[in-house]
Amino acid sequence: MSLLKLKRNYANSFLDTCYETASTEKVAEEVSFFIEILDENLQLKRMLKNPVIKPNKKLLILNEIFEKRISKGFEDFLKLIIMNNRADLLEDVLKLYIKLKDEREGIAEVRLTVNHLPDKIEEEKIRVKIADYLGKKVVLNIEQNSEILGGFVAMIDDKVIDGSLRHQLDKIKKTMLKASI
Amino acid sequence: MNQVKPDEITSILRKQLSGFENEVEIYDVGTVLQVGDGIAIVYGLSKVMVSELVEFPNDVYGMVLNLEEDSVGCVLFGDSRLVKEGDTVKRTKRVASIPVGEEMLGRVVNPLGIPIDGKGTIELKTYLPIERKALGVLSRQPVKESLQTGVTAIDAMIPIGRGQRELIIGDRQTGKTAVAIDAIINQKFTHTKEAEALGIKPVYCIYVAIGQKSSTVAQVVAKLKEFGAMDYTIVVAASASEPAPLQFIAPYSGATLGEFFRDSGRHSLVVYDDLSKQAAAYRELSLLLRRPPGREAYPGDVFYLHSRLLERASKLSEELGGGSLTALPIIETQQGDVSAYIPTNVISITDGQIYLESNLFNAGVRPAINVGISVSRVGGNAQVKAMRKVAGTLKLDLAQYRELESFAKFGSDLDASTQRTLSKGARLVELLKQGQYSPLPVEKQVVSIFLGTNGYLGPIPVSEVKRFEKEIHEYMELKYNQIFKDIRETKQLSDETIKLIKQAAEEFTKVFSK
Repeated sequence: MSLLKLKRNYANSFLDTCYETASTEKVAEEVSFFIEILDENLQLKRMLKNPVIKPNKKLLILNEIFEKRISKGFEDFLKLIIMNNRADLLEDVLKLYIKLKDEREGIAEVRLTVNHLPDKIEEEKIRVKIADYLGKKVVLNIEQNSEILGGFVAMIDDKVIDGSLRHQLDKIKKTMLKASI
Repeated sequence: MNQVKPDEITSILRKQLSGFENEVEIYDVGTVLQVGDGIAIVYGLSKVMVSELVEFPNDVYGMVLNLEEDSVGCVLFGDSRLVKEGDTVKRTKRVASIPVGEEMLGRVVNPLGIPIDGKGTIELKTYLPIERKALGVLSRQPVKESLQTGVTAIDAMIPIGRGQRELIIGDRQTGKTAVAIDAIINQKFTHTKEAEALGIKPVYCIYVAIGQKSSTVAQVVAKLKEFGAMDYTIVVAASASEPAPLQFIAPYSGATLGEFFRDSGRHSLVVYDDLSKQAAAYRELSLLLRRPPGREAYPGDVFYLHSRLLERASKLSEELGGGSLTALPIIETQQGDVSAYIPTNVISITDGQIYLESNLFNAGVRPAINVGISVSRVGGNAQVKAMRKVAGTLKLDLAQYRELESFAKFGSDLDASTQRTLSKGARLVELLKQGQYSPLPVEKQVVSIFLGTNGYLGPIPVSEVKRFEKEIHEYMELKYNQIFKDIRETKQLSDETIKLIKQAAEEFTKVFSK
């Protein structure tokens, strides 16, 4: 089976059990916390991916770090995936979990790139506009980048809504170059 | 140098800008994960279609060929060094297509329709996809009109009909391209007023050069220009230095151009020169895309690669305008091995093949067509009636000659009938020799073959046969022009015409031998 399918299977079944026990939100928070810790600790990441370290040992280490910080459901899931010798997929599966949860609940994460940071009212306006277009709840992650000169660029997965000045200028350049003299 | 006024430039730019829309644009993107050898693996582009054009930075375009679970495999039509890891790839939402129109005639373009002859841009609005599905059974009708190649041996024994697929196969340096170029040059007649009066519809030609040297392509273009054939010809060139993906799509682009003429009720002739190089280009990019290799390392769908291309050759039904697309694919064999993978595939797809052999070529038989194993499966119905009448015995005579040829060295020890067969055969072989770029009109071909098969060449020495043929044509043009006129107009060989030919031949033989 391809790894992508495998990851999706783990993430989906984890999500399903969470829905059954109505603990999705709580677990999602814990998962985000777990990913954060992983991102901060490269050694921990390496340990999980290392095939030489036995699953029992991996579980022991994780237990020591996260004991009492995570719920029973999450703990069981960690046990399952590690004992199945799939600890190397853990990070991706957890990321996929968050993504699938957002998808099911109709939440879209939008990466908004702007030249000047918008104020609260503007931000709200943008959020409403994008939410209307997508028909989903929108979570905005705002980045500042002076390269776009003005306007905004919103990215939702692969889709780009480009209203930047840089893009307009590029388009004008192309149109002008097309003119045959 | 022409002066360009600043006012003029301003007005042009203003015109361009007037259509400019200042709107927020929505597009789909992906990220380049890996690039090299003309292939890019892209992450993202989740809704992309197969064979869609995608835009890389620096004006490099690519085509999507592989859709995988977590990535998309693209082939690049430009320099892969201009694309870097992490670059953004944009969808264009249109499948790879080529502009079509009459304005393309006389031009040399690359497989994407961009002119490469330095004569400026071609302004065309209509784009047609490069990969189109071949028409079904209902939209077709049997091949019924002849396509004269001007090569006597072909028009007499391996006749090609409009809408047919006739393979030209042979080793390197056997004159494969020459046959195809002659066929293109011979279509000049179909564009004349005279042909129109005779009800012969013009044939537009497309010459697709795949993986050839640019110098060879330039030479072909120069020759076509010299003979006035570029006026009705489009050359699609993906030379050896172009990336493999361009060589791979070149024949499809040519077919699309041909289909434009076909679908507007006209006739077209597309020469694919040559498909072995296209198969090699396809093998290259398939291996790079990690598709599993099969026999001779070609991918599994190499048969489909050629069958879907050649299926696009067709004769449309009258309801659809009755246009046609004739395909002349060329395959290069290695040391005469026609049982290699690609040659057998293409032989099985086409409606017949013209075999060119290097030993015939070296023996001075040019065009070096081996008429014994060359066939045309559907062209017979389309052959001009007069030609069918005279060529009937030609194939038989030549077959008998070939059987006895090895005895020729015994000379006078042979019995009279064998000697007669040998002498006739030698003269017929000589008669079918023809110089390059000198296509013969059908009426002259008919007369030549009539003379050959009816023993009028008997008294002429073999070395004089070609001169005799040329001069008798001239003689007839001057004194018995009625013969050519009759055959041309009625396409039949009436008893009266036969009588006239016999009379002219007898008269001329007397003059000639003196």
